Amino acid sequence: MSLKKALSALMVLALFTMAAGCGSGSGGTSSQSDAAAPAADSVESTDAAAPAAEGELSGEIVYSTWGSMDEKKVNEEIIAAFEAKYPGTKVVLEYIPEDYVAKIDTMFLGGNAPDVIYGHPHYFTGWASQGLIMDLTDRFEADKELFDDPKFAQHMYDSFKYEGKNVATINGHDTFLLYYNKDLFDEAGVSYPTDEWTWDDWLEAAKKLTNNESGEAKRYATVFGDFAPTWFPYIYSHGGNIFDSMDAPTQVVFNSPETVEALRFIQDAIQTHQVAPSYMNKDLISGSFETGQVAMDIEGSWAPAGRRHLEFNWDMANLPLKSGKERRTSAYYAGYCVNAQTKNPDLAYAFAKFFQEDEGQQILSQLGLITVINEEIAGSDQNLKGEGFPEHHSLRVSSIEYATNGYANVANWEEMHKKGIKPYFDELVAGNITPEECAQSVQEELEKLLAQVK
Amino acid sequence: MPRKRSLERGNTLAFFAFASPWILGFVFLTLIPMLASLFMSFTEWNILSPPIWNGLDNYRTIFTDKLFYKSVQVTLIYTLFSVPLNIVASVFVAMMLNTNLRGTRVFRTIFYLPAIISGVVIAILWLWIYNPDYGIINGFLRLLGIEGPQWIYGADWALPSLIIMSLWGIGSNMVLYLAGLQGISTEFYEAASIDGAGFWSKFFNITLPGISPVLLFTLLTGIINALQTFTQAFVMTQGGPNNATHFYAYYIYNNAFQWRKMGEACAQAWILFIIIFIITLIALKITRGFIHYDSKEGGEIL
Repeated sequence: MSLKKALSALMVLALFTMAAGCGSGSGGTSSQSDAAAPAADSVESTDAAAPAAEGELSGEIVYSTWGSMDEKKVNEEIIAAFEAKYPGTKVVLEYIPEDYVAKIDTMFLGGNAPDVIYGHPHYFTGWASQGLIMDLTDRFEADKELFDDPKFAQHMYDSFKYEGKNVATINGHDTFLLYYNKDLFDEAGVSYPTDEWTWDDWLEAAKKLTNNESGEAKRYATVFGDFAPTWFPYIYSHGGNIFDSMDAPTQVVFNSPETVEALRFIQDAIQTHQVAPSYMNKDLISGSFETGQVAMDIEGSWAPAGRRHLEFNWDMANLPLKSGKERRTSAYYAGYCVNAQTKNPDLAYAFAKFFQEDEGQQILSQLGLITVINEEIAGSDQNLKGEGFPEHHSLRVSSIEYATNGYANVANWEEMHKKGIKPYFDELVAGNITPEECAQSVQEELEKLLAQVK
Repeated sequence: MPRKRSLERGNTLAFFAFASPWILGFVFLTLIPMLASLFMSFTEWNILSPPIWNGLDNYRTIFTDKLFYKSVQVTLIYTLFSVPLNIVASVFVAMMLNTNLRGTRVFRTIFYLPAIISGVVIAILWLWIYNPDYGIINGFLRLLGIEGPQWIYGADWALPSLIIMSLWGIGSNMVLYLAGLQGISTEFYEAASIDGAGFWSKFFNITLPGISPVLLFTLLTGIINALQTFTQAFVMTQGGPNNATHFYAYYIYNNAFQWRKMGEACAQAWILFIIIFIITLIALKITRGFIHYDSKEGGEIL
């Protein structure tokens, strides 16, 4: 083929590629430059802010968060309360409901990331490992009287550290607990879960709660999530672990007899006892408890807020125990870090801190989605006893004592659970591999991925 | 002579003036980002800190990555089945709708309707259609006493499910074929009828050659689109179960925007570009003798 022919072929190809609606190969970089351009003006506005005078806060900062419209409103309320407390300050809300981390990353790249950034601890690990967010240790020291207060679930601070340094203030946690439909339990003649329930009790109850007859409405005892971290409550409560420490992982310890046992428990529940569907259906999962199609599920403590309006009776309980093992569960955490490049560090820090102060925590707790770190506020009657909340609602506060971080604080955690864990969980559910093989494969994949960031 | 030359120059200027929006767009939005991504593909770039040159490391990683081969396999199988299936189905429907019967216009509209719905909406709709317990397909099968498969939630059925689902989009191709079919002069058919040609003989000797340029166009765009399949994996299956629908473009997206491996993602994108380039060349080469043009003023395509 002559050069001319090759060129004309290239032209044809270029045209067809465009006709196909997408410039292949350029996908990544072009949207990078697109995203960087408009954000450039927002730097100007923060530039204009005058440096904070001694002891007095002024100026303007940008704060980013995601969440539902209700959560957005809560954030706006907090901003209003903060601005009222510190007249002359302004906080601009940058609401990013989709693709949060990718967008913040891009903003960091363009040098105009928000001053205060909401996120999970493993997000902070990623940014801290590149020196992008501020070390708050000295400021925490200076504000000891706030942070050392016993009203806070203080061991959570460890999850918000990078290499031993505080990198964020804390919003709260979502611990995973057992939710059950009392009406379905009554109907099946099963007694309600107690604090002494073991996984064996759970299984016995599950068998009675499952209605597997082929017919119109199938009912399962439970359903397992298709998001790998939703399996960790099972693994933790069986005594297994993912890493030596989820807060600062140095070693993969996934392949242990305890984890294998947890995996076997799930596989058997699906394959042998058929008390849960053998596929992991997102829609079935998100709405199955609410529609009464499953009798139990293990969910984060954001669930009661949505379930308080359900028509049937339900309650929550501690996770079942594994005999000989201590009580454990999993939890997601969230907090606020400060951009290392902020033009107004005092104001940014004051705002991040405000979320952990009583006023901020009070507003944050209103929706009942997250359990705030301030246990006095989280455990107040106002937050626990509202209409529609179940009898054991207070478990969401007390369970933090034995919870383990449900995400690992490593920069490539997203890749780890999607690429290194999920495919093997799929194989396990389908019955294609044994729990031992699953644990072994995940161990190897995670070791490989952990080595990439060490 | 000088007058003609200035006229020519004026024409040339006018050409570039009119073409400039496209040229500028191409250079700044396609060519430069493409070259930049070629450079990035030789670097390790986590987006957060400046790229570090690492030569062929990304390519080495990719070619020893099991998941890379898996996603190439998934994408090629999808393309191999969905593209011909789509063409056959849309030609069939177009021919049905090319008859002058009552109500064809209504049906043309109905068949085209799905094409105007955005891909994400379609994906969410099909999530429900494929729901093993509450979906319409398994509900129907249950009426017949058959327990249907788990569709996109089962590793064996996930990819076939997406191939079946791709038929949803035949409307847009159908319109092109319809236009092609209506462009064929009825004289050909009349003459063939007089000569005693049957349906199939007319189909292969008149209809297909008549719409062959359109067929080529839809074949090429179809292949390119199929090789870049993303929405279904992103919205419906997240690449699962067990990577059965781990499309190549979805892998690129994850590396680039979820896992902070922009360098590797760029390398993968270039590999995809080369794959598309080669497959397109092959398709052009193979179809060369079969495409009928009324005039060839622009010369051969290849």
